[in-house]
Amino acid sequence: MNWKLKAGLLWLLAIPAFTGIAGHAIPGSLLPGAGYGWIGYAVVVHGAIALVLGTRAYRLASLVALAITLPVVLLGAVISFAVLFVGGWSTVQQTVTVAHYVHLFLTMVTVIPLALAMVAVIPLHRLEHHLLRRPKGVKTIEKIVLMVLRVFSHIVHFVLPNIMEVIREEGVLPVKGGVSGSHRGLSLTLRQRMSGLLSMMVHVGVEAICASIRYIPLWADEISRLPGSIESGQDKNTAGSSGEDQPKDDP
Amino acid sequence: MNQTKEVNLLFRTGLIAAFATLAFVGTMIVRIPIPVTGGYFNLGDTFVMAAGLLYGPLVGGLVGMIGPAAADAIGFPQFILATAVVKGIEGFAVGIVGWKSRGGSRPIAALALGIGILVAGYYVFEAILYPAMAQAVPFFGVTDAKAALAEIPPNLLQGFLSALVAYGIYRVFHRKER
Repeated sequence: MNWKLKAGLLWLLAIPAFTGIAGHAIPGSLLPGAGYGWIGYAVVVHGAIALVLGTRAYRLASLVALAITLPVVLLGAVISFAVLFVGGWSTVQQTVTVAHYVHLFLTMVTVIPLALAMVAVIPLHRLEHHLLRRPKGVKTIEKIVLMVLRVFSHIVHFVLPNIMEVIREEGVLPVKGGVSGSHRGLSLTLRQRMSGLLSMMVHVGVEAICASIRYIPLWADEISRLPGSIESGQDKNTAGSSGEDQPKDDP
Repeated sequence: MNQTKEVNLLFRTGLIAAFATLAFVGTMIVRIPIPVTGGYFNLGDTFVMAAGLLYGPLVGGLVGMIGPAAADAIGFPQFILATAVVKGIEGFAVGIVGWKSRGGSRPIAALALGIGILVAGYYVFEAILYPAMAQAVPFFGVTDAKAALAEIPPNLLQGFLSALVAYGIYRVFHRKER
């Protein structure tokens, strides 16, 4: 199956989730908030993702989905029940709250892997190479697409892993066998902790921005030098490169 | 288009793509739910505000429209429209007021305006526009006036924290420029 067919299948599968059809497709529910329609839809979506991406990538997408979903659902449920507890319990409110979070869990564990698969199925590098090797030259809009692809790939593959390393070095995440930030901070006041957290966030933000935009001037210059499209007559404005003279190395 | 113009266009495109991706990640990673509305608290606004302050209204506005809205598509699709409009205006307004200012109180005024737009914008969408739109399209029937009112404090906190971090980032870059 080629990537266009895979992408088409996944985009088609996304329609019921975003239009709400999935919830009404089959009447009845297994649990409050978990209708047979959504459960059936979730099974079909997960099966399709495993088929399209392969089991290894599917497992990774599911793990990412769980990592995002569980804190949102569990924390949300805890906050909701705390609010209910303070305001006085009511069986109806409890049922509605449980149904809300069961539905949220089901939606998120279905939609997140689907969205990840929709992005993962597009071969960004092949798309970039395809654009770079067009015999008729590259239109301005294609150069813009090239720039976006290059920046996105750079952030996903290089910046984010490095940022995780920066966060780990700053001691925010506990390090196995080492001294973690939380241990060091036991004797600190709340104000000092907040100040430390804000400084860390500013530091991480600056690192992320610097690493993300570092090569943009270079790429802008390089991509602008690609031969312009013959149809639009852009090639006369380029700086001396011809259609056959394609860049062989990525910067 | 001559090459200098094309380089500028590509440079701006690259900046928008970079900040939008960072705003997307910022919105995705920190998600604390708001039970009343089914929405969530996040720190994606930091990069929207920083983009406006550092690179102007066009970059700020487009970053606000693209990054956080793309994050909403994953798990919270009902909020895509509100997020794209509110954060687009927020980034644009922060850029209009705070861009090119040489320190002083203008960046702080810009960030305060950004917080105001964030809070007021979501309130207008959730209390007025979404309930009205839900009559024609049930997909938007996720909030009402009461829920929108309950979301004001978490949105205020989200805006305030994001603005604090964005101001810190702005100060670092401003110092580097000098």
